Amino acid sequence: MAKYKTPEMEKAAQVRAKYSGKSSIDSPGRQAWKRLKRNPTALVGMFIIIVVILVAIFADVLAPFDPNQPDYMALKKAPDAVHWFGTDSLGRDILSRCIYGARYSLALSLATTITSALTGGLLGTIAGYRGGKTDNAIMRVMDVFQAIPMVLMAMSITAVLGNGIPQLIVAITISSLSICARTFRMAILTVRSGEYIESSRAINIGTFKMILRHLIPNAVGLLSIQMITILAASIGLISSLSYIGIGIAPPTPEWGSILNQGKDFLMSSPHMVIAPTCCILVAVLGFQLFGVGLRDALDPRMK
Amino acid sequence: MALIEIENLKKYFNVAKGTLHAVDDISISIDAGKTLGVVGESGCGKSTLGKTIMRLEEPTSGKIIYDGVDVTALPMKEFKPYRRQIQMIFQDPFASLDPRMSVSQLIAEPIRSLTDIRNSSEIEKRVYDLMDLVGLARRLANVYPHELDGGRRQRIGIARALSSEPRMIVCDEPVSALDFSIQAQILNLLQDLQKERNLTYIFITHDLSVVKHISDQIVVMYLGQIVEKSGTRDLFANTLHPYTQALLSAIPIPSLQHEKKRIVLRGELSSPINPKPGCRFAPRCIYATDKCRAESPELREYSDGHYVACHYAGDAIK
Amino acid sequence: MEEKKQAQDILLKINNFRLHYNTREEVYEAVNGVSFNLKKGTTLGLVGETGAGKTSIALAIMGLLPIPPARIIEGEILFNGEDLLKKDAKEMRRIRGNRISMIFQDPMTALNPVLRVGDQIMEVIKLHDKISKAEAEVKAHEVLQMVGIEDDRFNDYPHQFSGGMKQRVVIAMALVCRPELIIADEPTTALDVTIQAQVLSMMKSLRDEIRTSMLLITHDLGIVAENCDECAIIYAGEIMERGTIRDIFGNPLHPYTLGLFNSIPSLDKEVERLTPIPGLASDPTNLPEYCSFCDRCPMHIEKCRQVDPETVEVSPGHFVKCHLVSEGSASAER
Repeated sequence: MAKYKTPEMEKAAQVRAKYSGKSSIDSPGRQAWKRLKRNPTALVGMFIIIVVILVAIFADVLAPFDPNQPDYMALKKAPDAVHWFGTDSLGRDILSRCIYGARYSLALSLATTITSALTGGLLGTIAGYRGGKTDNAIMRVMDVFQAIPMVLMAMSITAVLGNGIPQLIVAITISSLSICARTFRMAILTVRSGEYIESSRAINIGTFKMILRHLIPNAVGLLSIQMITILAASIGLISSLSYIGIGIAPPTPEWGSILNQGKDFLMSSPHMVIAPTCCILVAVLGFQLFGVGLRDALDPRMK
Repeated sequence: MALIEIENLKKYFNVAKGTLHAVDDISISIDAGKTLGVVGESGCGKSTLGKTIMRLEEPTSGKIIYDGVDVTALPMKEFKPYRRQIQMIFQDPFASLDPRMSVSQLIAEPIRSLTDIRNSSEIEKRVYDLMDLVGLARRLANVYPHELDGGRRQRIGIARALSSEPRMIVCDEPVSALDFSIQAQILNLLQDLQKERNLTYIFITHDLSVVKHISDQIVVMYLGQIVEKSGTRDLFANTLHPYTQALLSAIPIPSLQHEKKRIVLRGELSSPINPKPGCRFAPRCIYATDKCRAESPELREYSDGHYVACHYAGDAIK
Repeated sequence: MEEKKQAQDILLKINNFRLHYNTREEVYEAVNGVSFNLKKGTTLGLVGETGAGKTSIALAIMGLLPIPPARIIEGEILFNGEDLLKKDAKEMRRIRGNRISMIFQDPMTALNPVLRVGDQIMEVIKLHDKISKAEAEVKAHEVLQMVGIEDDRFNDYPHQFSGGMKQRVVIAMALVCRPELIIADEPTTALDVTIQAQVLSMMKSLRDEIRTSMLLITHDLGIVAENCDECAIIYAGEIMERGTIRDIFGNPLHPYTLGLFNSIPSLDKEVERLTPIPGLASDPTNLPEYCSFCDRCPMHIEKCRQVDPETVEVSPGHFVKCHLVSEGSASAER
């Protein structure tokens, strides 16, 4: 029923009918999932991420060759029917290396993002919520951290703790700590000025609950995008650190290190660079798209 | 018997330009079951006054005596139980509700934090009782506030304030964001609740017609201070302070017969930062003399229960 | 002859204007067949609550509607006999500011925070009059003086002004080219009462001075009573009642108009309990085919749920859209 019928109304009614359901009695999580399902951006992102994860899990099955097995008969071969992505300077199959690389790149970047989001997030949340002197103290320390070049920081950490993958995670966490703290602090500050925070104080909601129930959920939109950006950056970070011999040792197939090994042959055999670059690009793109979709899905104000 | 007495309450803020005297030496008392209207324009300190009563802001000095206990002297931990008895309704029904929580979550939150009800089925029952009480249809329980209009959002705010069965509610501009037809609904609801539960209201607003409708007593504030305090009928029948007179005359009346003298005030509202001695209204007052600019007028009892802070009230000013 | 003279008197004539906002899942029926006239040199108050379509009408006149999602379904907006809806963006730019100006509720929508107030006014002057910088500056000073802002504030930035002062500056900018029509959309809603009184009385005297017409959009019947010649009450994108101030305030006929009057707490009368309009504002994405107000109307009859009422002229210039009135059984109780 309407005052005046237009063709748009019928179209809109069809769209509504397609998605209509008993949405009002769903739990918030289920509603978020429904919104996610209706968001094409998020779905594409999710699809990419799932594919990359499956590739990482089933690397043994999918990879046509042993990623570390040199083949001196086929050095620097351009892509062909046998080696789809070609071979590298030692004759290793690049496709297989990229498939195995998904494991290392994905696991490492996820691990570093989670640790830095937890530590930096905690510091930033405290700084943003408490304000005043606490804020000042935390953020000035963060400034110092940011002032130290990342590579130098990573080198000093490995010098103290020794070389290895856990040390790599620590190094990257510490170097992205200040960015995380700053992101969380900003998000909390934006949210904290809302009148509903005051109305929660009036009903005796404690600090801890306030942060978990009100501040973080409302900041999640701002945070999810930023965290995904940090995730994407950390794939790059890992590779540049492995280039100077920190963390991942050369034979291990990791996208960044494959890229590094290939870059010397950029002019003669560009395929050595293109394949790992595409891998990084696709994975980052998947996370970015999913991040944008997730932000919208978690917001009940979005239809 | 006064339920709450506020004595010489002051709340100062340090701002870049000096000290802001947001609430400057306010004394009021409210009887149980009555409504005190606090009226004034922006920057007069009325909202700060409300927040200070809830101790969302700590008073700089002065006392708030609730039911015989000086609650300002209590440490925060001991004050918190008093929030079961003193609750607050916030101005902006769009900003004062967490957009990520559904209606039932919003109403359940204060039940969990303020009352002893822990059993989730009892909480659910209480949520529905409160929804019935404030006139929210039960089917809205799982809806999010952004899907509702201002009136229904404000009903959520009222339900939240009522969850612990308080004796007193500080209403901070509860209807000013609402359309007239909805405003009337909410005002009626507040009046019904008051009658039913003997609630005491502090009703903060900038709207004189609303405050006249709902209050038993009215306090008019200007730049942090009380300029006039009186019973509602007396205030409108015998307006004493030039500011109250101007405020009253500035309201556009939706009627044709109304012929009135409009006092258009000169000047702007300032803010009470490092106020100099002298009447704060003097720069805008048409009657101001040198005495007004030099000497702060005391709040004095002009007639029975009618207080005014003006050197010349009643004599020359009519 | 008579008719022709009347047509000359009318500055703005809106005929059966209908506007929808289309989104993927909903059609928002914002304006549903609105018609009214604004005579030269008079002020028309457009009164309605949130979402009634007031601002959409204003934006349509200004040619500032976001299209899409907005879509003009039918109707015409005649300004001096020319249909504004048929003009292209370039022509509208020439009309806006020159012949029609708009004052928004939030003065900051019209002010640039990084430019000095005086410069902003000069910019407006230079945009519309081809005069030298020095002349524009003189004129800008004059205009500021006209709206009661002291000369030494010419070089201040907008943030150094209070809300009321900012609105004065915006009014100065709207008036500087002496437009034929001013559209003021809730110009004083964000201001304090005493400041509102200042701004309104200033607007009134300026309006009389430069003899411009005004469309005053507000939710406050008091402002209408004191500032307008005619008034239109709008609900769910339809004009329910319109007429002169005397008609609306002296002899209100539509149940919605009556409901509005009854829900306002009065300063003169003692009312123990207000009589609000029951229910909620109609949902513009789901309007009925019958009278939009019917579901909230305490006086509705069976017919109200069957047919949408026609607008009838009960006395010259007084239009009402209600079955009760058109059937002659209206009992205007106040």
